[in-house]
Amino acid sequence: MNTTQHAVSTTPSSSVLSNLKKKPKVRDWLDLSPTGELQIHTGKVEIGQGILHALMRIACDELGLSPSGVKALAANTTRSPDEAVTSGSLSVQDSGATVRHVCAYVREACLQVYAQQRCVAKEAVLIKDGQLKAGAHSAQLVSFITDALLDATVSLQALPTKPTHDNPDVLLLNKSPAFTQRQDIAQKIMGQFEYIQDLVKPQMSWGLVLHPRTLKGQLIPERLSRFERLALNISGIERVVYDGALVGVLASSEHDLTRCAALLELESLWDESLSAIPSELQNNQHIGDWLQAQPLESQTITSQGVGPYTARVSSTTTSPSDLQGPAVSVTASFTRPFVQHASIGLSTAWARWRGDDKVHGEPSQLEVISHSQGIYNLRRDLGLAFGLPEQSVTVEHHAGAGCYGHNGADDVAYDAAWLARFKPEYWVRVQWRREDELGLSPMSAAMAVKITATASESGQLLSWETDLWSQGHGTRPGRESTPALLGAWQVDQSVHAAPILVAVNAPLQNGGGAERNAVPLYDIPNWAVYNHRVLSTPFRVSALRSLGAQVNVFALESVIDLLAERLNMDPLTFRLNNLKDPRARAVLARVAQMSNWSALSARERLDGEGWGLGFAKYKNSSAYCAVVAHVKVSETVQVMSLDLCADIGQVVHEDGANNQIEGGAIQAMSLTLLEQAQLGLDGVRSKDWAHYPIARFGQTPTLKVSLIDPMNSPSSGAGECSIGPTAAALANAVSQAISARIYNMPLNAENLLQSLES
Amino acid sequence: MNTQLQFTLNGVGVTLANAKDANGHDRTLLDVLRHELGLKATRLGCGQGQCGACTVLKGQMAILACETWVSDLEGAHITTLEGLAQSGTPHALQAAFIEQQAAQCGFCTSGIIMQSTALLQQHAKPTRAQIEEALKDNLCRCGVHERVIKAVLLASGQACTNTNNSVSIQGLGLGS
Repeated sequence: MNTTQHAVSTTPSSSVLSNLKKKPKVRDWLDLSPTGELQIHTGKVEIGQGILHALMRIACDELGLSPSGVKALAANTTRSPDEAVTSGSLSVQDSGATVRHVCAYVREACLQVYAQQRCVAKEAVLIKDGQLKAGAHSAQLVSFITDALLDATVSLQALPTKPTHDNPDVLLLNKSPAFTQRQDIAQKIMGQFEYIQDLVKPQMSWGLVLHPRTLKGQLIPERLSRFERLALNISGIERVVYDGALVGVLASSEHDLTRCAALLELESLWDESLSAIPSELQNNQHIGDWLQAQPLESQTITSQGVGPYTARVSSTTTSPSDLQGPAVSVTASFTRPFVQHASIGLSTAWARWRGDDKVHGEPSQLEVISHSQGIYNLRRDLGLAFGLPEQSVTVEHHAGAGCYGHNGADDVAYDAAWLARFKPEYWVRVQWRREDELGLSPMSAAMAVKITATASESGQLLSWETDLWSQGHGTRPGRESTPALLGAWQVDQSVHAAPILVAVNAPLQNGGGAERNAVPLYDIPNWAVYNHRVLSTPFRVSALRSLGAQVNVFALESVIDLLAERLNMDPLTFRLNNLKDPRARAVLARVAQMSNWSALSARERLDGEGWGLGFAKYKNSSAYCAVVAHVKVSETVQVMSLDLCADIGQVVHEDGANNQIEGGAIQAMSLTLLEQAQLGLDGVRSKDWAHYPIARFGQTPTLKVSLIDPMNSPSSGAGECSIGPTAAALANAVSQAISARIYNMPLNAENLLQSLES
Repeated sequence: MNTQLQFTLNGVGVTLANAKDANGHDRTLLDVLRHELGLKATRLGCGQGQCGACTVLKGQMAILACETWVSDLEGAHITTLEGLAQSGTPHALQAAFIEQQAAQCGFCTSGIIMQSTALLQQHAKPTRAQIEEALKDNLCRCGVHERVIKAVLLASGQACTNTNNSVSIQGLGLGS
């Protein structure tokens, strides 16, 4: 198939138009280095997911360049477009689509100019290996990327898009390691990658910032005095400072700070009783009751065919669909406790105050280096916290360890900025300790979900009603009138008041928060989703990979299996009976094929062995993913295999997408089977790895991933789509294995036993 | 008290002027590697001996640099990730990890590779179970476990069938 000249015209998406409205020039997105390397400016940041490699791939695909000539730069508020937060599996979808559009615009402009020079039609010019070719003539493409072109305003019209997968040349090229292998991964494996933790600065100080263990802990003055006296006896400790409940230490080395921190093992510096942590939270068995007993903000998220919150559908309500036959009805409740971010690295930041202008007698320019997911949002909230205009703050992104949502990066950036005020002109480096990383980072909110669903005897879903109880899933910086930074809440409030913020949910059209994926994708005539937002904040919660989707898909797909069981139908058949979307059907059909699903029902199952299916379209607007889990259960659950099929639209970097989908599956397995925060009256108690176990090598299932690429569909992100379906597949597999439905995460011995007894 | 100390690091003799800090307290190997000798591939993940991110080799044995006092290392042979490649050629494990793309954020990777190096010195052709056992105390949060196991199998010259997690991009099959 000769498709080298085949070009599809692609209309820019609303996110591309919005990006180009804010940053309209080519130069805002693409630039040339002095040595002629093409540089991509993106507002999205590298958090271990490989986005910079994916953006490089897009530019190479569109411009026919090789990876050695293209680099995507780390974001910086002095230069990069503001693309808000690197979250929600939106980076390839939004930033990638923008870079693709800008590259297509540049390519068409270069083709045009060269065609005119050679007096040929534009269609007669080919692009290959970085060259424009017309007959026997050729020229370097980048030599046509002139200042005038870089300063041009990018067209908002549809531009021809060069498909990556049906061009034989591109396909061949893309199989070379330079395309398939991430350069940063090679650097990490060779010990050459510099993380934010590894930086050194000529004029620097080492800092430690100590927080109370609960949000409202108060410093005990005499304990602080004792701590200060002992700390200053350590040779490298320069200074101990405090403000409100925050305590800072400046030192000449990390070693001295470690010794200083060890003093806290003798006694805590804070009275934590003011936080009044509810004692029910000490036992995760009570989490559902606790959630439902809190002050709530209840609202109908979305509904069809049923009234608002006060006029609910019930299994006895007559609806037109009931004419198909008497309904079977299932009502079931599910819970998940608070879970933790649990990155392997420690949140770290650098800050320096400079400038001759003084604000409150202090320097007025703040520079920050951070592994934040949203450098502009962080800049804004740092400005709020320190009473500075945004222009006086710069934030530069530098990669840290893996990030799976709102972690401590923004908070430690505040800590560094707060401490650096005590040492102007110096870079101050602050790194959280392991107990801070696990104990202070926002958790993912505990959730309870209750679903009532009905189906006809012929296996058609008739009605669906979901109630969910959870705190909001977002307390990220950049969204409120006061800063969303932990330290800003804990310093003396008389200068810059920063109240503790109550977590909120994004609107459903943006993916929602607690309610993410609570709306079934199945074809159901009557449905409603009610969200009861918990308004108390005993602990800080925020976004963790997939937000509410892990719990909602777990619950939703468990109910689908319960209905199928009632109807004595195969779970796959029941799903396909109620799902018209061809892309949804395709991933289910493929994963069934991969796992030999049709033979499973006939297969003799050993005691304690089970298979389960899980499916979702992430956010109901992004990637499709279906999973089959095979488990063996004795006292604990051993996952034998996970088969996954996903449709993420146009695939940019196959192995990168695969890596994300696999990683999502393993992380979801860990969250679903093992993870639960242990809470106490004095804060988070699971603050080391012994108390917060995550999946280990001995628990690794075999993994198979298959991608379906529906031609000419825009790219969706791959990072989060496997989380919910994996949780659901495990729930269904374990329930089959123990012949009892499991309703509460984690799927540990205690909860399994409870299911067997009920 | 003279606390000068000599040991071999990545094949090169190193003399530390002082194995102790100014207060006479012990320093960890991790601290000395990262902050005195400038070798940053050995990572601080917990400082409590629970995550494996700081794994290095002492002789042929994997040890945790965060729990090792440098004063105990007189005459020892220490190898870090930076010492695996020979004249710029990646170690077999490094080549296999790159080929399998067995990392995402990479923060746990150097500890995992060092632990795997110790394993291969003990078992030239480890089974999957032996690999899982050897790596049981190395934590990874990104979830690249399966890729790591395959990379270790590959590095030990064992068939690493890529069919298990091969990416097969196919068109939209509109089957039932």
